[in-house]
Amino acid sequence: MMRRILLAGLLVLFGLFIVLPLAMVAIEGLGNRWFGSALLPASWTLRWFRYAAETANLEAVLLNTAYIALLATFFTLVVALPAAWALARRHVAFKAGLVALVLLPRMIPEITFALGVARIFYNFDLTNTYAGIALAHVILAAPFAVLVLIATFEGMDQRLLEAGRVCGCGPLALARRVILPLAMPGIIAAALFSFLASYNDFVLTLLVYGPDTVTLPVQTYLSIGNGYMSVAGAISVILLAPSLLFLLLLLRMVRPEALLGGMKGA
Amino acid sequence: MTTTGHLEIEGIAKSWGKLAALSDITLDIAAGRFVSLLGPSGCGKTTLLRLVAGSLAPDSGRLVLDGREITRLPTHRRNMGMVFQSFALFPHLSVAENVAFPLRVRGVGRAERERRAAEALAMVHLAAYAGASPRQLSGGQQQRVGLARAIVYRPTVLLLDEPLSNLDTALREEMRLEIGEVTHRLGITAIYVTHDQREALALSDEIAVMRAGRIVQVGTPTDIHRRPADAFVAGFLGYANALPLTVAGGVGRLADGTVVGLPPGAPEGTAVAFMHASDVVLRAAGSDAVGLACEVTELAFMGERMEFALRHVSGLRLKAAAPIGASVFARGDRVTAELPPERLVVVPP
Repeated sequence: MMRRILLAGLLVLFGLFIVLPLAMVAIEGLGNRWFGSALLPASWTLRWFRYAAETANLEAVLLNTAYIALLATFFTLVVALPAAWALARRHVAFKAGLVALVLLPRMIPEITFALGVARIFYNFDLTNTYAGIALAHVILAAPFAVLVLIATFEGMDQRLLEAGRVCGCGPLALARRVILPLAMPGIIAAALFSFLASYNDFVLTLLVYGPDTVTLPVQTYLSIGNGYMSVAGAISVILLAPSLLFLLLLLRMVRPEALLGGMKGA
Repeated sequence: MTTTGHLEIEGIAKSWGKLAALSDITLDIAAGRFVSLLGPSGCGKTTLLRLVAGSLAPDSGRLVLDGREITRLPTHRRNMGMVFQSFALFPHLSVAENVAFPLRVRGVGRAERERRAAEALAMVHLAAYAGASPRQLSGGQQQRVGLARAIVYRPTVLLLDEPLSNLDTALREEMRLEIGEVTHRLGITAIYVTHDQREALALSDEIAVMRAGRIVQVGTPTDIHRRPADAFVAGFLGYANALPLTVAGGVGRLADGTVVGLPPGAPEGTAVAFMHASDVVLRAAGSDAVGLACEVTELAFMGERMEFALRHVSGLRLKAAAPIGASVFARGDRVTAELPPERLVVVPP
């Protein structure tokens, strides 16, 4: 009994640990006159959203962010699908080394990587372009996408591919009619995570954005810098929305444990 | 009736590194024949089937289908059908879509596709399940969908890779009859891989027995059953009794000197005599029967027959079977086991 209470208590604490900061941001964005050490604001308002729209050019920023995220997702899949296929299905020399290389950007401090990327971008005049920023985000999105897709392809039943070939599928028909449909849960997961990796990215974007390519996280930062905490809160609420939506989508579509390993017959 | 589907396998060899999976396989399969590749696991029978399907390429040798060499032709251009041990139905497609899949890949129009898929499903008695997902079907039903998918486009050769192995015993016979009916109705050339001699004997026009990457005997089921080429084939075909003999001047002797009557033409020297349990005739000891003096050590009621485990005075163990009521013996009874010479198969060890 004691153990159960203790366990429940720990779970609640852990939940608060994750949820509390998010709740604070939401309250910041929706609260009116929240000063000093008061636990809650004196009243509630939506005016910070209006403020954000007026002062921070919110519509353009939102479109920038979405556009870059879509582009980054597309680029990531274009790179990750063949890479994961090769790593999962073929005997590749130095396979472990290649996987480690793909993971590297996620293992080192993002600011370090961002510095290098920024340097290259200055050299090639890629800053303040959609494609350039999306390309930079691929580096962040690719590791997860490749890992998920490797698991997907490795878990694929070899016999089904053989059945497809015997049924008359050449390489292209096999990819279109058998491999893609079977891998779809993994591809959707990879796409969602790629989209979020780009949509949420701050550090890398900060070093390569320009006046025409301000994204939501960057605008949040700028608003804080300008002293508008509540505007930053309002933007953050908007920033949060797709992440939460995708999380729900993901839970409905893919079994979470499938993301960690074999997706047999999914 | 069938004019296409004549497959010639000529001197095929395949090895995995240093391990020879297949050596010098030559087999001529006439159009419309049902041929089984029979052997224990690891004998290379599935490797041979996958070579014919094009999933693997041989190290040497040729495959010729209706006079045209197909050794290097990719799988999807060989026009073969395949039934898989694991069913291998597409989980993202319905039963009808699975069956129509090969037609769709071949660009057959929708109406024609649906008509032919329905026809193939009706042939395997699954018309009512067209809209179901494969996952909703039992193993036996899934395998019938697999069969329908493999024949819907009238392939030149039908390949079956242990199609009954994943089914319950009760379903196995039903599915076996289904496979026999469908292949005979279509008159299609079929290659059937199995380790179960009963399946091979029941279905085949011809059986190729394989061992360690080689074909050791080819023949009709009757040939193989009655005249196994060697001790391996005889053992594999379920001969219950194996008697080690020394043959001299046409007379066979067990290790303890007991004389065993042999059929004419038995090989000289050391040999093994095989006999089915049902061919052993049991008589009460003391009658004037000539045979091996044995003791009944165990008996089992098998429904339509009784099976007896026997021990000869030399220690040799034998098995006999008799229809119910034909002979009544109990554990511990002394009996004479007659071995009719014409039923003995004597082969080199």
